Amino acid sequence: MKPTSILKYFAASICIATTLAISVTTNKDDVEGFFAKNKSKSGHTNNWAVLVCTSRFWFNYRHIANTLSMYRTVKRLGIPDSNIIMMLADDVACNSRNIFPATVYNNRGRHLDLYGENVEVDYRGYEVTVENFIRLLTGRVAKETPRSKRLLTDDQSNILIFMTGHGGEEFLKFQDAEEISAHDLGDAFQQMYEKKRYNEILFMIDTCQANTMYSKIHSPNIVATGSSKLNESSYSHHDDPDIGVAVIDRFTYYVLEVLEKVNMQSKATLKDLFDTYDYNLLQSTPGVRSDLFFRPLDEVLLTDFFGNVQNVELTESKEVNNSLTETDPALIDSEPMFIEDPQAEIASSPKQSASWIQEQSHTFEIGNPDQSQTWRYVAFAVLSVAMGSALIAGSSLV
Amino acid sequence: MAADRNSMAANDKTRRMVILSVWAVVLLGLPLWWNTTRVYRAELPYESIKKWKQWETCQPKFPIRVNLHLSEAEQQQNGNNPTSSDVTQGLIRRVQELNTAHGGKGSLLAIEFIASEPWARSSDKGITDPASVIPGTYDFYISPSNVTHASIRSQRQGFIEVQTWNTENIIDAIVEASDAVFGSEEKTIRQLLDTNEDSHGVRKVQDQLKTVKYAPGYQLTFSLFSGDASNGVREWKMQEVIHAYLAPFIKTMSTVSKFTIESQIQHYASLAFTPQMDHGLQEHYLTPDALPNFINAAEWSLASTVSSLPSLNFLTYVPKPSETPLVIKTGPSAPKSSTNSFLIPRWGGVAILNRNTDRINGTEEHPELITVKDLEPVMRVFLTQLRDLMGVTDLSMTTQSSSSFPIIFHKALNEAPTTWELDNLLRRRSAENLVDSLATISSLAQLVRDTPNMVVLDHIQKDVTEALQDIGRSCEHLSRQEYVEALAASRDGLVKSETAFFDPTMVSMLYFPDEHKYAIYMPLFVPISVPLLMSLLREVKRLKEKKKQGPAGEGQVQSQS
Repeated sequence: MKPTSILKYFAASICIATTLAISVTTNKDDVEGFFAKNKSKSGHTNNWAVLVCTSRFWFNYRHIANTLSMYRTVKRLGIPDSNIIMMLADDVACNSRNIFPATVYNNRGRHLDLYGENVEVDYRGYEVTVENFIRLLTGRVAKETPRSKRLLTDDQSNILIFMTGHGGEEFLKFQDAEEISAHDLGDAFQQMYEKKRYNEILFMIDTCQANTMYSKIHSPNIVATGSSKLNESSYSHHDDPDIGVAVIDRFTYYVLEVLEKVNMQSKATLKDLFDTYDYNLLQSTPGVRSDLFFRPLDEVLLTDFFGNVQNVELTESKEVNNSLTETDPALIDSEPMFIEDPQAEIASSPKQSASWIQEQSHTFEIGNPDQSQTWRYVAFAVLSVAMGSALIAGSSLV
Repeated sequence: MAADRNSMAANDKTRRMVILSVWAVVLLGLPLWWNTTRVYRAELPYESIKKWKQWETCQPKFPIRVNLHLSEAEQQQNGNNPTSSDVTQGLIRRVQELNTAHGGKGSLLAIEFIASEPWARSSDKGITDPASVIPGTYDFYISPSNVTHASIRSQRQGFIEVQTWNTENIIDAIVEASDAVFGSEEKTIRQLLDTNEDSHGVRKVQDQLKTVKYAPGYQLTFSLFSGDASNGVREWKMQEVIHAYLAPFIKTMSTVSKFTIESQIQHYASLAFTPQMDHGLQEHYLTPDALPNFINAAEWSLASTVSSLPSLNFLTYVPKPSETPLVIKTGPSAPKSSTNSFLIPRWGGVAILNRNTDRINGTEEHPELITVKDLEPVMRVFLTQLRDLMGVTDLSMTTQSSSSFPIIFHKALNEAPTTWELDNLLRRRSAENLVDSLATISSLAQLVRDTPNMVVLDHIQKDVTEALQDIGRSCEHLSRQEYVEALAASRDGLVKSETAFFDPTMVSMLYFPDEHKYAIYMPLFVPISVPLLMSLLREVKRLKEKKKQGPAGEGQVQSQS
């Protein structure tokens, strides 16, 4: 922070003076190096994002828009394409029903074409399957899998996993063909943990009854958040009359609203994001699960997951004399200078902007949530017994 | 009536045969069904994995031999001079004392001091003996001098000069010098091999953050990013630079890992932000805060798909003329970074290369070319960063304050690791690989035990067994001081354990709740089983009735005949 700007701030208000005091002390720590400081910090050196849209077909336009919006955000915050694994049915941009061919919008205003110029989809169309997803997470991919389809994380990777689609109690549908259960997800995370494939994970899911999906996770250092609780649906935010379908979901919309104000220098934390959750806006009860996570959420920067802000170390020359050979033991020792990541810019608390006319398109779900699963099995058993006795009756008649 | 009875008996027989054969099919089918739907699980060697985890099968030791050579000239001068055997015995006693002082734990680096032939010290300090070529065997040459100091040469040779020429002082100097060379390594390896979970957190805080994980091969990508075309950069002499500066490093490191090198040039690579301007000095500068944003991830293409080796990036950035010179400093008046470069842990390094504006104006013959000379400082920076990333410990950096007398470490040409550093790396990477492959295997065993649905095929079992054998081999090689072979064996073990863990067949079964199983089997089995059971019961009932009637009926038949 520049001294001139420090003076300016100082003059401006006493309120900010306290923040300044903090920034000065952190500056002092910076010189000591980031390794020592990392105890309290995340301790990651690379960021990855796995963005999954599990839906197909035109009427699920909004799920693809959700995923692409998230893709745009993490890319803007510095995660390179090589570290983003995107699974997308990818069938709306060139759908014959799309009156704006080769575009995907997440807003009725259509200011921003999400499909843009540089979108790298790693798993597309029918490649988006439960098996591929589990293989991706656990690293058990076929030998010939290209680098772009592998999650090459290590023990210092922070991973953002974002999923959206149609789901129900403890499951999420994959393209109407199959489903992943909360158990599968929990197992996959446990396998990742066993092989030290992550440092921390932020699991974010936008679907009906989303909070049930993270109920079976049992591996440490995972923070999870979902859009709606058990027996609650997640709703779309608004639709575009020209496109003819809903273009974004509520949960993603309001998360993005926060993330749009975040840049790479931002000091906004996960807590700031979770505090903006509002039932009145979402029409569902978003959930946060942090019992497996050991850092306080108000110390976890959003850029720890959504961005790629690396700690860097300045290289200082150790020797003045450049020609170093056996006979020339130049030994000028100077400690390398360490620096910390960028100084704080106080994150503005996101304010709600008046949004579009809020139409609701119900994200329908499979099965009636009021009936429990066991009821179905009992019914099934009764039915099969009835079928059996009918058979007996028939055979005895014969 | 007899015919009727006969036909009834025949009917009974047929019915019984039908029921029996249906039941036979069911009973024969059951084991078949059981076998075909069973999850195949090859047995893993759990017991030996558990033993290995506690280092019960083989405790890795890292023997080191130090040959002591005392100065010959001094020994001849007067009679009561310290002999090398005295010094050696004194050293052995001292090492034992030190070990007991450290709570009886034997040190992992078992340093063995061997009395060797004295050496004739010539005037030019040269040494005629050939340097040791065996990793782990070193020569210490001790001679008297005005002031105590030591110099560690690059070829496994150390020279110690002692002020007061007596046994005690010599021993002190040797202990201190070997502590300077091996002390920090001992600590690192001890931490690595410590299987207690508590040390996990400690391990992370260390330097390990910077160092990339061990791999048999790495891909180095040297990229030139040019701000825009007006800086006149078209070409760089990277190939020559690599041959001139990187080759010694690569050659020395080839016993540890192999390297694939590629280079690329990208033009019009602009920064994602505008650097700040220092009007006083007429230079543009980047504050350290801005450096994490330096890499324009969205537009610069750095990912390589050439190989699946872990890649390290080294990026040379030539700013556009309107932003030249571009320096790194904390503020307008602060001193600028001497190298104009920075390191990103586990990723690579970045160096900013400012082109002299005169060149663009045409005073030089080839302004579009970045010459070998221009690249030399950049390459030096990259070599230092590469050393850090590869985990080559700079001995002179680790042990500067602890010793009571100056110890000078010689360096090898072009930042290549010295033999001391290379041996250190061999030992450390072997230990790391042993720990990593064992961790992988025991995680695999844990997973297989926790997931009853998981298929474990025979080749997984084979891989695990072989990996354990490789680990054992590596451990044996280590104890015989064969570091290169030990590393090779540990590398095999690591590769095999990872192959077993990441085998694609290990995900064939997803979670299947029991309710789903019932749902699948019930429509099939319930309708079939009810008539099957009923017919069996009826038949049994009929047989019972017949037994009751049986004797009476037979009597009737006999009386009639």
